[in-house]
Amino acid sequence: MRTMVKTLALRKMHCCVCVILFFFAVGRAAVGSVGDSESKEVEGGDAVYYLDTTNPSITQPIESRNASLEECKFVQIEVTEVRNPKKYSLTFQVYFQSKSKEKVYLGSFSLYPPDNPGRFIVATQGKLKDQGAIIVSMVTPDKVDPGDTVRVAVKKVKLLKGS
Amino acid sequence: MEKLSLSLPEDLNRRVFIKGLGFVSVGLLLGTLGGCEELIEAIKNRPVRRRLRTGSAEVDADIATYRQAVTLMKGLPAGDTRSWNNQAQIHGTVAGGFNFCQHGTPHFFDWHRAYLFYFEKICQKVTGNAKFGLPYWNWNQNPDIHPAFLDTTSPLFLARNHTSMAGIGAVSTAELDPIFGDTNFFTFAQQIEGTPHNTVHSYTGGTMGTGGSALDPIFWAHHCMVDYCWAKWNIDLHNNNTNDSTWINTVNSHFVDADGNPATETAGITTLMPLLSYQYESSAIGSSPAAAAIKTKREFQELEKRIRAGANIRFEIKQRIRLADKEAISIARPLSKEARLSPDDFGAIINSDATKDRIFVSIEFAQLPPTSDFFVRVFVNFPTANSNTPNDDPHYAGSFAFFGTEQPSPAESEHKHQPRFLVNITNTLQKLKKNQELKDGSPISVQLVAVPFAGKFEREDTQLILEKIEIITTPVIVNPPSR
Repeated sequence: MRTMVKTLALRKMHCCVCVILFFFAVGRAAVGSVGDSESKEVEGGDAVYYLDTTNPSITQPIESRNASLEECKFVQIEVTEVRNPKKYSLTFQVYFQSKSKEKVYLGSFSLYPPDNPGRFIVATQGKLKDQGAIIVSMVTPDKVDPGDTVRVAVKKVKLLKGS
Repeated sequence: MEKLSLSLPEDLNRRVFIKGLGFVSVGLLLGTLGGCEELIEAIKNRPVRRRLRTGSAEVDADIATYRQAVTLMKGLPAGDTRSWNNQAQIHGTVAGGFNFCQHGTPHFFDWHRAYLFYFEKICQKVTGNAKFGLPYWNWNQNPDIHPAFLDTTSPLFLARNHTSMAGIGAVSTAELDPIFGDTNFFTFAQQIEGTPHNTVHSYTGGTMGTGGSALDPIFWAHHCMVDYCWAKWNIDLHNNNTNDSTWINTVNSHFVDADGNPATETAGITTLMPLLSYQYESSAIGSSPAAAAIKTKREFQELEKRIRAGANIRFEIKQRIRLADKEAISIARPLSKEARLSPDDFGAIINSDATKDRIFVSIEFAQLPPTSDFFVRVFVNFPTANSNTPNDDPHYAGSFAFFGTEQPSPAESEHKHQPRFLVNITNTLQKLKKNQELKDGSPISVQLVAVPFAGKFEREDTQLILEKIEIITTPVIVNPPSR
């Protein structure tokens, strides 16, 4: 009995050293101009880019300033605002585009519910190279009826270091 | 560089306390409180959550039980908290969005695991089948929704926009493999949520695309798969969950047990659920194959030990600044200590997102307190903080609690347990700086505020014997998981 109970004990819960970890450091390596999307400056200098069915992509050049690209494990995309009254399914595909314009697929994410903003990460998988760009493309798997609004605001893409 | 050891010796009193909590916790996880033999049997025979597929008699039987459970829950009176609609409303509603579910937070995994756990208990109770395990929809291996959910005459049916995830990148091996290669608990969870989880909800569409998605019976099979992703990453792929005590001690509530009573779980308890209250029939996810079942007691014990321990973290302290020395403090009065330091002394950390260094408050106590019915919130530069100050205040940095109490000891020289806590204040300092609430040149102060669990202290005259408070700077090094 004694052994059994000891085995089942929540030993971890009683380890009185508690570490509140913020799990990754943010690398501000990717800051650049917008490619094919309208942009505006918001408070704090953070630019916001708009994606819609006419302009579904943004291209953001990488300017490696504070961190080396090998250390950047994730691309962070923050969707700040969504206008999607018909609730079309929205998926975002993230690519790295090299200097020679070759596109490398990094990953994707979706909004749930499809009008719910949020902060998302996609792993770089060590595929980023200097002088390239990050492309974020909005994809609507279902056909959007003409006249329906689908418009998404995205903050400047950031590169994050791992822990 | 100074190395900080995180291991602490255990004293006898703590061990006794641990045993008690462990026994009760396991009893709750299994839904039974009996002797050891009953517990061992219950763990051994815990329900199996099987992969949804055709051609398996066992899966067909699980689907039949699930269909029966859905029918019975839909037939419960509106006032019964276990009814189908009431269960779904815990998560959210079609028109109103989310209610209590955790999305976009570090508690996405554990909140939904607890939600499934209690839902499964309700299914077991209403059908009288205590061995029922929720089947999971492995959208990577079986991208089509199982035909049982497509029969329009079945209670498992609900209108959806798509009935197959075939060809959708988010559930493909190419996208899942890099995610499963991530060894960090939080970023792994964030990617599973944003990529396959959100995409399956959104692409399936209909009710599944809304906050009221739990009204669709496929919701539970989908979330069971999300839970299996976590279990596989943690158990089969040898990755460790966080050992952040704030995460572990977060209480998830608003659940309902098999009898319709309110139920709560801590995030920490949910990490043990796949070991103690149910088990997954293993299957491949991406390039990670189905794993062999655990056969020996030793294997089980080693796995359990690893899961309880969580991540292996190492610090290399670069700077130490003393804020307070030994003194007795009352839990009834918040404590505020000021450092002879200002934010510009930490400018390299506060003003840079690129550095790996973090700023912690290290709080050491000489012994456990005589009562432990409270937790302690830590604030930065908020001398007027009190027990009513909420944890969403921008000055809030974290909290800790004591497990166990100091017992009178016959021998003064006997070893005492000296609790030590670390609270990361980096993000709080950065936030305050950004909000211009932290000015260069002005001192940094730290506040400790005791908050009773039950709204009132058991003994207001409880004293904490502080050993010291320091501010330390260190990188946080997460060692690779043991294989």
